[in-house]
Amino acid sequence: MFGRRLVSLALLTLLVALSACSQAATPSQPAAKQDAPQPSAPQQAATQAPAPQPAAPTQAPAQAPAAKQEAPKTAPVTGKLGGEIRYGMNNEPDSLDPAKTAQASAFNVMLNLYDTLIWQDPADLKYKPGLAESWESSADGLTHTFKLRKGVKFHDGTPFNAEAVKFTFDRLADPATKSPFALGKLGPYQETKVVDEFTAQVVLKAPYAAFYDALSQTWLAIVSPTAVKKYGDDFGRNPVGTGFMKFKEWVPKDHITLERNNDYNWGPTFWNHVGPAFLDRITFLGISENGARLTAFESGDLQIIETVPEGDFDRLKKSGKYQMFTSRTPGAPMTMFMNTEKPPFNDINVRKAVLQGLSRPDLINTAFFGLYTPADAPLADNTLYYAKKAGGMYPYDLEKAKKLLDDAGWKVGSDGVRAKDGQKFVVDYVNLTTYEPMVVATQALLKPLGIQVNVKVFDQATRVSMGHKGEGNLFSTGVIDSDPGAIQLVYHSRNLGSFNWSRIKDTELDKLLDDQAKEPDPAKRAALLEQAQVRIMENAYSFPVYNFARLFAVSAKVKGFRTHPLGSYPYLYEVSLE
Amino acid sequence: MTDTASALSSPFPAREGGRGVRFSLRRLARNRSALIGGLVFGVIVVLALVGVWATPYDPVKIDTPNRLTEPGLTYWLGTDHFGRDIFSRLLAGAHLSLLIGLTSVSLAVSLGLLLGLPAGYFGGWLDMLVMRAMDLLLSFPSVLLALGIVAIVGPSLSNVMLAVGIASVPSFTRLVRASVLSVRTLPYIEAAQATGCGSTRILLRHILPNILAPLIVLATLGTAGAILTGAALSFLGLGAQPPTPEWGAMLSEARNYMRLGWWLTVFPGLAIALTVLGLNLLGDGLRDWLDPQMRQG
Repeated sequence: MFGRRLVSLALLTLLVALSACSQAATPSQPAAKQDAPQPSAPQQAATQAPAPQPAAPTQAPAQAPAAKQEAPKTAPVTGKLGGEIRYGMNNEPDSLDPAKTAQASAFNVMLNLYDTLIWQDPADLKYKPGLAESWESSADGLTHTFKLRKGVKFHDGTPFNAEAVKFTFDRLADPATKSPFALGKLGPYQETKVVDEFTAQVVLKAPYAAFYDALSQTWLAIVSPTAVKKYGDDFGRNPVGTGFMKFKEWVPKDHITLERNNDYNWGPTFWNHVGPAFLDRITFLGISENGARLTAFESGDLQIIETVPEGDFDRLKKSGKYQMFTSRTPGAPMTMFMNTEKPPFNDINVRKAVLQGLSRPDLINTAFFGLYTPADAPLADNTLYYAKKAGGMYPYDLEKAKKLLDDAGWKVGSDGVRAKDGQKFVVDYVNLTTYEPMVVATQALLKPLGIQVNVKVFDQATRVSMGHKGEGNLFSTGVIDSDPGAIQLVYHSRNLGSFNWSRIKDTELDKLLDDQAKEPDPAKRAALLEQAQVRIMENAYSFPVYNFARLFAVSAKVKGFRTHPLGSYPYLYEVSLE
Repeated sequence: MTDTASALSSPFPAREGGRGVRFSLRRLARNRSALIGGLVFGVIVVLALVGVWATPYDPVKIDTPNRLTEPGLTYWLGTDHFGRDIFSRLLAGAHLSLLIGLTSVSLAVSLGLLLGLPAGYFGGWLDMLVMRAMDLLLSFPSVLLALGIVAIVGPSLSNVMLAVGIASVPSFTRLVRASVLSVRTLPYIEAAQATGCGSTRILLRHILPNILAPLIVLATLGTAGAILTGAALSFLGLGAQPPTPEWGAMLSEARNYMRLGWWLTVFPGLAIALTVLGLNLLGDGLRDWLDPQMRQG
């Protein structure tokens, strides 16, 4: 039970929505912090057709004159050695210890400092060797044996071995560590057995379908046991891993600098070269004000910035001077949840009318300068096990939507607003201030249907608590996660009072979601998730709005920009400067 | 504010007859700051009244193809990120800003009189109680106080008026009390008391008319301050809810797009600035006009 709660907590973090406000995250909400994709975040190149390959952060090289995208797996690329990248982040991380943070900004820096046992290839979403050369699972899905790579050294010179794996996982599982996020990812962990120096066996208490996905995320990266013992609670300010960059310095409220690890020779095979990274140094600067970050980028002080506001993205793209990337994130797309407990959305036909009568392209164009692609299912179409069958069930048809409302008894009044039994069709759309453009656009687009939307925008804490309590009719959020099981957070009845903002109590759906979380067989799991997605759409529980993406602006001098499967984090290993 | 208040609290002779007032009005018209301030404010009031009835375009209608159009002949002040005409929005929002200013100041004046008159006249424990309470309120910056009040009662336009009003009560109470203190000991009050007038009658008939002058000045200046505070609250998302074209809210919405067009932020900012400037000039002029020392000089 406790573990489950942690899992949800963990997922929370991912909630994109949260993200919106630049570090709106309140301390009590790991979720929020974590991925706080900032304000502007979501997006995706509107023009891009639904990503053919699931998953990978499809980047739309906007126009990058200089840099061409390297195809992921082509022959090793040669980049120029040397140089420094200054990277503008939304906020400064709280800690660089994977066990002690839940922030997206921390993940971004840690991705350079640590390695994971396995990696997910953004090109095909398959799991590939990392610090583990191979692995096998027992038939019951409880025992996982990892053969570790030899000759890997931590930055402090100590060797990487099975003891380090055991130390890392045991530390996460230890309640004294109080891990805010990684613990949830570790799932029903029981213990790690050191079989020999380079063989580690992880034993789980229960089947955990998302285990390999979790292992591929930096939250479960392997840390140096020697350094953790040496620094204790200060390890987060003196991180030591096996990554291609070593920690150099952290000047609080200013910058974090990393230096190349010249010994590095153990990256995943899908990276664009082997051996040490191209860059000498990477400096991360936390700049939460969008304008300040943009100005620093346009003046040439920063070479990469994240979460460019949509309007400015459009402007920089048109200037032709920069490489602009929309990097898709997997998980649940930005979704509008309709409170099914209260009228008018307790009526399935009313919900269907909204699904049928609200035009996503118009909404995305009005609110986000057309930067994102429309979403059509509970999972974004770049996510593992996205069900095509669930998409396309409600093609836009304004007249049909009006008829559905008429038939449901909602007749248009003299003021253009529908009413039924003396009750007007007036609904409150509760959202974060940052998403005001989306809410205002929704308001305008639902007006022709005879639906009056009151805009209620608040700070993060207020609107999340209103969503949890069902105070309002419409809410919206998304979930960023590479494992499709993440949708439990917003559709399982267990999360009533949490992020189940449509307030769905559907035992059949619950069962599908529970079963898929335990199903070790990928094909069976995909089938269960398809049924779940179709059921959600058949019942019109929610209105998937658009596919999230992160917006990056990258200097024309930077070569090889590409992101991790989670979409929010560049592989700076592949990057070089011209 | 309190400095102004004490400077204004000098005793005023009782109001004179009609001739004096007319003479003073001419003098007021000759006061350049009052004249300019009055004109600017007057024009804004007229525009606000027009804006309630008619605007060139629908101020809330989204028109994406025309988004971010530069100021020109079609859209005088340009369009915003939704393609809404900024001039129409400013017109339609003007009465809201004025309403915030006037309503909250009326509230503050009423409460200020209610608390300040008895406190100044009776003194003693009542004075002590009221003034310590005012000190308590004054110890918060007024925007912070208003922010706290809105946070408690919830964001909406009427709550902003309430919050700004309450936040400016202390300065009015102090002014009223100080003025009462200086008038209370004058011979004509003693005379009124000697003839057996009750306290209520003395307060309302003899004291109130004689402290009105500084109150009018503070109310004028206070309106400017209230408009500014109201805009600040809307800017922070605590006032008018979208798509209401309140000026502070317009500025706040424009902030995310300010690098895409200078007109998005400049015009709402200018509208607020002009209104506040007009009211401040008018208030300064009124002060000069109503100040006996200046009048003699």
